[in-house]
Amino acid sequence: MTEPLLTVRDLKVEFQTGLETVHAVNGASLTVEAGEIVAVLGESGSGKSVTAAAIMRILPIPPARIAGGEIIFQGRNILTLSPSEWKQMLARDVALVLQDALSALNPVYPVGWQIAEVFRVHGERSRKVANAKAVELLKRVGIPDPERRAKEYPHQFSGGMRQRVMIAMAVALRPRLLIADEPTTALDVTVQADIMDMITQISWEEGMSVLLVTHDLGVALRYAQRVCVMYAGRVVEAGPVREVLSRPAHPYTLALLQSAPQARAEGERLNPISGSPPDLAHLPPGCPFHPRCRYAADVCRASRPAETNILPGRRVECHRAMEVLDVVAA
Amino acid sequence: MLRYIGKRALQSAVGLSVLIIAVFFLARLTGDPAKLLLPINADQALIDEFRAREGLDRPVIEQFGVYVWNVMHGDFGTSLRRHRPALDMVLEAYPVTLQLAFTAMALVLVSASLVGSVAAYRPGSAVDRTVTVSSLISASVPDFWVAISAILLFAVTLQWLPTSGYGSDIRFWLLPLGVLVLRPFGMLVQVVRASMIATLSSAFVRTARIKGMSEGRIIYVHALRNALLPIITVAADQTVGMINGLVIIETIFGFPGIGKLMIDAVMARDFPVVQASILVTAIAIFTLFILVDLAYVALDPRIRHR
Repeated sequence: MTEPLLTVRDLKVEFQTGLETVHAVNGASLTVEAGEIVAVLGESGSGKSVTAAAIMRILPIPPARIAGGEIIFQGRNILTLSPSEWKQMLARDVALVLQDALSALNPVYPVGWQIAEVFRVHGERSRKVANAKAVELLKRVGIPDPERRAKEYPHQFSGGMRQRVMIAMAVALRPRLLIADEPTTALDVTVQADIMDMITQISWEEGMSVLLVTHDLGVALRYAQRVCVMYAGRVVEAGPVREVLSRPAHPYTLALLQSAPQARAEGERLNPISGSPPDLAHLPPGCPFHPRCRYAADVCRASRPAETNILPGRRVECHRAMEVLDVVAA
Repeated sequence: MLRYIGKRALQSAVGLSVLIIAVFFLARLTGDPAKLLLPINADQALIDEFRAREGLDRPVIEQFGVYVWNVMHGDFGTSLRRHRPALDMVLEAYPVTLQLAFTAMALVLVSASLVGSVAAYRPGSAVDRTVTVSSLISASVPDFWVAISAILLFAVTLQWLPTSGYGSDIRFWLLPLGVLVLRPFGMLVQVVRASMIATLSSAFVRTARIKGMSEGRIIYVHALRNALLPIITVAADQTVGMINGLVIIETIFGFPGIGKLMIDAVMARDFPVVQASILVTAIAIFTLFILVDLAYVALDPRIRHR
């Protein structure tokens, strides 16, 4: 079997805030194969965005600190690369699209210039060629009248158009991996679908892998092949998205599904997850989910569950995974 | 663009007109120049002759009409005290003031940008805290007090520098410049620091970073141009504020600039000189603001397209 494009292994990220250490990522592991779309699913504070930032090496250090683990991308541990080696790979091999495209674009430069800059920074000497490529990209991401629009500034674009510009910028150098951190959260629903369809299409055409960070079960189900569910800085369950979301093995995944509006018939009450998200500075002993878990037993309070391959291609961290699996089956 | 400048010029003209009216009538509220300029035992005939010669015997409205008519023809009147054209006196004093103000502002801009950026690079560090505290002190101390204390220390006690006076010798300039720079420096350091911190942590700087460019390009091409906008606004404001400082500093240090001219003219009720110096200063300030607006338009497309 060939090595995955991206392997995150036992990643630990801490934030030092005053006297406390916040364990934002707590030994997260995940893989992304070439050409596949993997959703990282979790609530706020689950560590999904911090994991994405760690892969891009854009964590603010300090207060953040990589406390352990490795990130293997194309066979190299990127955490040990020098800043200049990494700068070479940014945009060329791995790119990022963020949630808020208005503030992510520089307000004082035309969008075409900002896209062309990617080519210029990575060796294109001719301004004219870079500009022509930028116009070509704008066309590809579905911006009408790209020649004229390239000369306009971010504030002259709508939210969806700006996100298209961000995607054009990200895929400019045909990276092998695109990390999309909540790419459609700030957009309205119809635009969301357009943007996600476009990312999916580019992924197919280019064989580009996508790590899709989202809190939206529907988005994960619709666009990803595999899903990694994160809780308290760990990937607690991973596997093919349809299997995981139709028959979860982790109580947290199950609770997520039951709390989603889609899961309920009209008129029924939602079923929220009880308790509050974990305090990442003071994690409970044992399984971090046990204080909110309906299935918690003594063993869950005493020891952290090991990673188990419960079914082919499915990985879960839960002492009672078998019983949870049977809940939906029943 | 031309329409914009035209609009601003028109606004400035309105502002200047209001200012001319205000200064003309307010100056006349201070009293009769004849009482100050003529010998204390001058008889009524002498006073009447003086008032007739300077046109002060006519109704104020008529005086104003004559004044406006003359100003529009480039005649700002003749100094009651020196019997020279008021405009000449103002234009002679201006280079001294401009030299002082521009040297001070250049020093402030360069030093505040450097110090503020260094503080912004690592917010919360020991360097940052030192800069913050000292710039606050620098912005808060009253300049007349610093000026007098500095004269006491450097001129009287240590005898390193002259107490006052004007000349090409740099020693005449050190104290006035030092005092003049303090407050705008303190203010601008704060602004540069805040602006750079905000810009460096903004999302578009992160975008620039993930494009794989050098730190230098990130700071100078992407961050600086955005950080400049508030800095320019405050710097222009500080330049205007410096004119207040100049009145005090030039008086204390005996610099023959516009500030001293203005104060002396006010004290002597030398109306034509008061009016001319205020008018010329106002024109300079309006020009400065138009230049700042143009800089804004050049730097920020969001203003251009409004």
